[in-house]
Amino acid sequence: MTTDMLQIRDLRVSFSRYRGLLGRERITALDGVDLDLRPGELVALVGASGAGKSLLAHAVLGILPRNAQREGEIHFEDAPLCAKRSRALRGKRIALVPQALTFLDPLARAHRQVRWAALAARRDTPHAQAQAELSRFALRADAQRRFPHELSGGMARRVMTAIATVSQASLLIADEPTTGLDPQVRKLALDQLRALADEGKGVIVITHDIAAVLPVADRIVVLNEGRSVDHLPAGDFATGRIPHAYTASLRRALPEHGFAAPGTPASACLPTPTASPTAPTAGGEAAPCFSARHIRWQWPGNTQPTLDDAAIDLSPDRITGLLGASGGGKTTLARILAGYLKTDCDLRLDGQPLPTRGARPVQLIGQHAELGLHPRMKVGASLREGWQPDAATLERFGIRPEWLGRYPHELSGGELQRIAIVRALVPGLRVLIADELTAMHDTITQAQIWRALRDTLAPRGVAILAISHDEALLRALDARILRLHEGRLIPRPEPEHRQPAPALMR
Amino acid sequence: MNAAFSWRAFALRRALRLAILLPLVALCAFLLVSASPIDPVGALVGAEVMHVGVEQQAAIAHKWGLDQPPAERFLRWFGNALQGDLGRSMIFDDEVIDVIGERLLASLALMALAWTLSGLIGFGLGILAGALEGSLWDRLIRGYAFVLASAPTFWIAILLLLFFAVQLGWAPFCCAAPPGVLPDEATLLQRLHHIALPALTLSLLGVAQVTLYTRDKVREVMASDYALLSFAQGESRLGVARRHALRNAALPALTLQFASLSELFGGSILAETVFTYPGLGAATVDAGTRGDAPLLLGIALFAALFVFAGNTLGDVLARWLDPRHSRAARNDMAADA
Amino acid sequence: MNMHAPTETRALAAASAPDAPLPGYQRLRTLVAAALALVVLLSIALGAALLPDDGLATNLSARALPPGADHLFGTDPLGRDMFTRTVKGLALSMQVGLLSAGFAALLALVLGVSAALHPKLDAVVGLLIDLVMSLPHLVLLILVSFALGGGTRGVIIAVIVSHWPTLARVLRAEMRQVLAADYVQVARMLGRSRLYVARRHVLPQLLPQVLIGALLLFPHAILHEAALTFLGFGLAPHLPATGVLLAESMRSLAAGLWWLGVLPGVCLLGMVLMFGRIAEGLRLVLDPRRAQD
Repeated sequence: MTTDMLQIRDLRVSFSRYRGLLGRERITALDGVDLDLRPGELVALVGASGAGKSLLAHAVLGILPRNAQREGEIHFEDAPLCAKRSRALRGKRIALVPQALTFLDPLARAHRQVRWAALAARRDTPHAQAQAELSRFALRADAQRRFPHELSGGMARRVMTAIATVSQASLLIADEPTTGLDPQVRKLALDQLRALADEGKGVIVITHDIAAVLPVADRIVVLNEGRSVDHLPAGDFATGRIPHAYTASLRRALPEHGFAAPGTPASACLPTPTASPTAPTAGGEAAPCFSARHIRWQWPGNTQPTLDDAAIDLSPDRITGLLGASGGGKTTLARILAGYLKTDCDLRLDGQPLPTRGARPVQLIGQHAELGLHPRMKVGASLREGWQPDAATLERFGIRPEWLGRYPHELSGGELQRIAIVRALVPGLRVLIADELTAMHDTITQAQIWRALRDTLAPRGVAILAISHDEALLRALDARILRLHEGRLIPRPEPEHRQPAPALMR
Repeated sequence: MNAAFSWRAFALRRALRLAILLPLVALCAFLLVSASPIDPVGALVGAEVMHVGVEQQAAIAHKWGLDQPPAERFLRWFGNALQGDLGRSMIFDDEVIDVIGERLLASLALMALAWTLSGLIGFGLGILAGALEGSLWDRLIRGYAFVLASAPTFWIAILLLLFFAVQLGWAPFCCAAPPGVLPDEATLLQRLHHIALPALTLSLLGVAQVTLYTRDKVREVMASDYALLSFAQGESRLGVARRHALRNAALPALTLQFASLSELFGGSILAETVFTYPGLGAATVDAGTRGDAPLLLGIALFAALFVFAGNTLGDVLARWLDPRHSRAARNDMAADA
Repeated sequence: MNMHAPTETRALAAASAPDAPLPGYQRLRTLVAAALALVVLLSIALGAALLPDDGLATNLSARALPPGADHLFGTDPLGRDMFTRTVKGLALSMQVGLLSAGFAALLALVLGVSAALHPKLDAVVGLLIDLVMSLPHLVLLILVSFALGGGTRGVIIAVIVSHWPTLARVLRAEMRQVLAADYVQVARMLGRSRLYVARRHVLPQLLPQVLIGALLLFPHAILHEAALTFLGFGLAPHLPATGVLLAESMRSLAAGLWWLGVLPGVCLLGMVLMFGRIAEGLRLVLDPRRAQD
């Protein structure tokens, strides 16, 4: 057994920040994280978005923000990694893998940025080595001379990996390497990280997307509320041999593995089929309640229209799913259907034009909940803009009563998202458009939220349009999946053995 | 995502803007000057107004076209102005255009010197303060900038005059040349000697704005993802500033410096008055206090053009230097796609 | 579109480079400084009202005295007490500044808000802003006060005319941003009226901007009033305005009467800095979230 290159024991990171005008409070972001890494190994640190996972990377590199405080031990190659030592080692033995275009200086050419990394690592001939490294990743000389905005997605990805590898560091840390990527580019990014581990480097991948890293990871460290609660081989997670309760429920909540929400009584999860007013006829679809025709949209400056005479029907008996990569026009479509963007398209509810006053029957829950809440209003007041939800509804969506007295910036994105969801469930609701509703959540919360939505809306006969980049999620919702192609919506073929997902969606 | 940028469309837009703004500025300035209770004839004749008869006054008024209705006077004046004829200055008894040209030459040297100095020093201080945010350096630089931004320009000028000219005797007390020497005949050294103090005043004041602005930009850069990557590569704060902040803050600072030509012009009015420097600024004050309407109008029109040219030049340079806007890069992309 | 995953940890962290020192009780210091500044400014106003006017009278037996126990700021060549004149001058500056900054802010509010409400109004207001901004401040100030024949009224109007656009721009942008914000759209879709949106969403966002904006206009107004007066276009020479004092001091510079120019100027500078302090404190109280440490 090879020795560990990195040992993290009981790492805690807390912040001090203002509460109110002059008060100070400490926010604990990491509350006891253990992690071991051997050379040649790829370890995935998995946890919900916004839980402070990135701080692990910053702590190891010694670049925590100035108002953060670190406790616990980090050992790197058998010596403690104090602030001084990490300053000496970062960029040389320990490297951060840049993972988004924002990590590249917009005003410097690709080659130059790789050269900086080589320079930082004290390589003897930075210029030549940068060139060699970029060539190794099949970037031609002219591509090496480009500015970041001139690189295609795949090229940028290769430049960023070259920046990490040119240092010849033995420990590489990648923070959220898959966020916002198309499936192909996501695979490229992860395969590159796997290849680095196979070259004998130690790689830590920090992510919220457990399903994406499973194929490339050796081991998984599960983070819950700032603590590492479980360490297990990736293979065990895939096969389901999981002793730890939290990790097991994390797996069961995956769309691919049953989409089960723990803690909810089984009866609450299973809506009775008769509760739905428009019961599906065998094999056929019920009449749509909402229809949209002739949807056209072109952003000023774009040569191609985003939406070109698109049409969509939504019916209450089955969720409609809209699948696609980011930036493809999904959000634009959602905003048009919900009336946020005005165009000349034909929107009808039960054959009638949509009302233009009062609480609208079509409601949208956006991707960024914090934008939908007034920053100077307590979230309780924002919630009551929609309706006055009862305690049971709040509980079903996991909203704690004390949240209602807080301001948006005092809650996390996931918590705000729940507020936004409940707010949209107005009494006259007929159509709910959910745009990347659970992209910020861990799988358990994701399952919980979708179940609560289904429980609440199915008896009321509300049609749902679920927009997501995650096909597994849409499949788990048993959605009729559509895809945007050249400005139109085309149906995606149904899986061969379509099961009417007994656990959740019928 | 931007629409393809075309220099021609840019030039057209700018020209259209000028075509709308300039007549409007001219009209407003004309209305303001005409509304003045200062009697132009009285101001012209000065203390001798007692000795001038009514007929003579009328004759003078007629000579200057003062007896015609305002609308007609404006159209005639603006029509002439477009052809470069701004009328005659009463107090200098010369063509307004010549007065402006002659005074501008003196002011231009002063302003160019101050503009360059303040730009370079301000940018440097801003980078230093932003990179070392929270340090003693930062606090000193920020304090200096705040104090200068809050101080009246003319008072700073008075202080410098008091210290360097009166106390130390290093600098001349006034004017653009030694007494008895015509400005045109002064040697280069003499001229530099006389321009130093006014230029120093103007640049000291210009520094404040650029410094604070650059500091903000640098802070932005230092909190960016690409700066984070540099920190993760072991760079120090100054290193990150040198690598990223210099280039990313330079373009906005340059644009700002061009936009600040307006402030510079205002500053030169005050500085030239304190140092009795015979430039355009001093002429503005003379025209105002002595009721020289044609000269005041001419200067207003020129000032508008000056500001407009500064802004346009700043925009052009920013677009031209920024690779994200450059045409070559765009073509490269198109060929690759 | 899903690029914002790490924002939450970033929201916790101070937006600045790592290993920058964390300032200690900065907020408390800001508030204390603002309170002190307010007290000083109020006492200047009060002091100006209480100081006897005989300090303004010429006193040929006490001409051109340097600062001392009898005359804190010395006397001018006419024997007038410079301390009395300075304090009264500062109070006068405050009055003029208060009037002109207040009206400029009001004008900015009306024009900025109406611009955000209708595209046609926006075009008109935009043109007005461009028009005012197309001339250097001082040239416009001279033109307006020339048109009005100088005097206190001329200065105030000139400052109002030239100073509203900066704040109007800020308010217009803020209005646009609020009206286009998701939370406003959501409220509308939830059936809330325009009045509700104006009261609950727009007003709480706009009000701090107007107050702070007006307070930041103040120093500009005071400095420009002084400059205009100094050039001879502003307050009448018999008033103890700071601009007048400094203009007079120019005549005695060569005689070495340094205190005539230095001391009133320092006081003016101090007053302007204090207004900045108060604005900073007000910003903190009105919006602790935006006022990052």
